[in-house]
Amino acid sequence: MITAGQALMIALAASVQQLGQQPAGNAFVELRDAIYWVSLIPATSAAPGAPKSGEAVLVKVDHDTGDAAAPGVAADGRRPERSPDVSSISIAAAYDHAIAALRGFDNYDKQARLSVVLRNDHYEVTFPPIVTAPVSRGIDYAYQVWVDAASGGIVKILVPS
Amino acid sequence: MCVTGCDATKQDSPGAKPDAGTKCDGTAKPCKNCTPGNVSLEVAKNLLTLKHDRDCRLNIKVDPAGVAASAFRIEIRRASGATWCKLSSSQTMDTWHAVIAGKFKLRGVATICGTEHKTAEQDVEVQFPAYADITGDADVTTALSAAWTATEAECTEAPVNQRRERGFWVRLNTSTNKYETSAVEFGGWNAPADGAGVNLSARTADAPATPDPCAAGATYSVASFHSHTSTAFRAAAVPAGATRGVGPSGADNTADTRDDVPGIVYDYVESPAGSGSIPMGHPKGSAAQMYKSLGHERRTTPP
Repeated sequence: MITAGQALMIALAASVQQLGQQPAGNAFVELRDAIYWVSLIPATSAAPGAPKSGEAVLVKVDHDTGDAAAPGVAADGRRPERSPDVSSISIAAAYDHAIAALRGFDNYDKQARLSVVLRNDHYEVTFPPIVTAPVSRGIDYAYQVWVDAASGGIVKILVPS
Repeated sequence: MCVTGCDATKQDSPGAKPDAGTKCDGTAKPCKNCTPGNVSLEVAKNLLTLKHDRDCRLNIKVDPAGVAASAFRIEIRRASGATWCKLSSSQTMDTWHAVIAGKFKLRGVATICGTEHKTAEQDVEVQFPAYADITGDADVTTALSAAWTATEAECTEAPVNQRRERGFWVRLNTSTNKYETSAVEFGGWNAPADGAGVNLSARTADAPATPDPCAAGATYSVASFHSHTSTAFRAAAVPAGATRGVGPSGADNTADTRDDVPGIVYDYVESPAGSGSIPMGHPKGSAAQMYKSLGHERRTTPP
């Protein structure tokens, strides 16, 4: 059984043809019916086969085996905020920096929704909470790590109430 | 024209033309004027707010002056309903206290020489109080401050490092014109590494559920409330340098939107200013305030 973070890396590797090596942009990983649905929205559309504006590369990754289906394209309006003219570290690098910042404090649900969102000057890497009992008024994440989009430095680590 | 003579007991026929000054039958009394030019309902305000702006003057105006009108009543119905009920048997309500929320139709009725004349209907909306109304009320702030104090007191380092949120519904009893709170609901105890929350029940039902427009009052749930927790003893359980955002979470906003209420969250004031967060180890007793969730400014007025 692979984690959402592993599914993200598998999806990035599977979509090199569409997005190129080390794309910057947004990534959303959601587990539905034993399949990770990984949506990748690059900051630029320079790579051959890159999705058009309003679209994402969608890679389905098997939750048990880690096998990736051929990437497809899906409508998705969650565009990165950062200008495509400004260079950014990659999605994978942002995720790796966030994981490093949390070393020793991995109190989050590794199979649940993971997001890497490129804002104007930073990435927000959001790790989901472990939900033991649903509550009506609760928390949005276990950790949210802000990573400088240019340098990869840690801007802040947020924990919930 | 004077038809049947004008003394203290005899009346003109309803169809007689106005001739208030006419003398007849050798008496010195004028004929009654039975034909009004216009009967209307004057409504001082068409938008009222429970408790905070609930008083309104209503008056049935009969033109011209001197028309023999009597047996007045002022009636109300829900805009979505068909049944009228009587607010008053007077021509004028100097102070109508609106105590039922809703979108209403009002009309006046006057009897003139045996014939009922109804005014045109007037629209009046009686809305729920807004976030600022609720949080500005002394009873509410007292209750919320007490809940915050209790939340801080429950955050301990030893013998168990734990904390929990609490919440309740803010209710408005329009019979007493005072705010009340529902029973306190508690979130689970949380370890310092864990996030906290409270499973506040769905918006408590109004009592009665759909009050009659002429009812003497009702009790409405008008806002949710819950507290957030202290970071005083969490530093060792989270990454170094971690901070916690203050104010409502996205989940809080979603819940209050679903419940159609303004949400009140009691939490610390950001520190340092402009950060939108507080550090771990932030001392209990630090400055705190109420925050508004992005639910609704006020509960939606029922139809």
